[in-house]
Amino acid sequence: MSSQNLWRGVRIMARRKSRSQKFSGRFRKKRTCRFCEDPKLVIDYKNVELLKKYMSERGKIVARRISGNCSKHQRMVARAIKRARYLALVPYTVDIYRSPGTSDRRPR
Amino acid sequence: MEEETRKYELATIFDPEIDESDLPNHISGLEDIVVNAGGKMINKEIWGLKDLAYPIKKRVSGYYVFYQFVAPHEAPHKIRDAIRLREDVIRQMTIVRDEFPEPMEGGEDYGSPQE
Repeated sequence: MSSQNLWRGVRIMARRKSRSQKFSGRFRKKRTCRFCEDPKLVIDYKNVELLKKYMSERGKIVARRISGNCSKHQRMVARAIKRARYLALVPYTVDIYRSPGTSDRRPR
Repeated sequence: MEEETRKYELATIFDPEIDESDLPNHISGLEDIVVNAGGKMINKEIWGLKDLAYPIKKRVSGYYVFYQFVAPHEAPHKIRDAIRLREDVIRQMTIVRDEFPEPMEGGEDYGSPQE
């Protein structure tokens, strides 16, 4: 890791800490797993509309940290998304215009 | 001795270039494959022509058909190999099901499994 990246990480961590201190005990909303709360909600690779809620605009699987799913249901969601991808029900990737020079993708 | 069986679901995408009037023949063709492999059909879901999220074998759409069946453990392998020889199926996937969920659309009931 280059020193520049390291310092970026340190800055982010510093920012996170101050944010969490600022909001501790006040704004924290307890996020609970949607599937644990509603057992009728089935996770299935054919349920494309539901799976799309757990995918980013680019087609990536949304992290548990963000989605608030418990680990069991997150695994089920991830597996369902992967199955749906194989059957072309949802895309593997979505091309969004990126300004040149960003590291995410090699220029064509 | 009773052979141990499991619940499976076969998902297939048929080539959109096959004739729509001929589609039922293609669909029942796969059903025969399932039955010949020792499977017992439970339900079938036909979604019809749908756009693909990305091209498969240069096709941008396909007929989605799902087969739910009960079969012994060696059946999925046979089914996969048999379908691979067919040119009318552009993608297939067989998965193990704990439960068969309610059909989403286009379900066709074969009655509940015995036992």
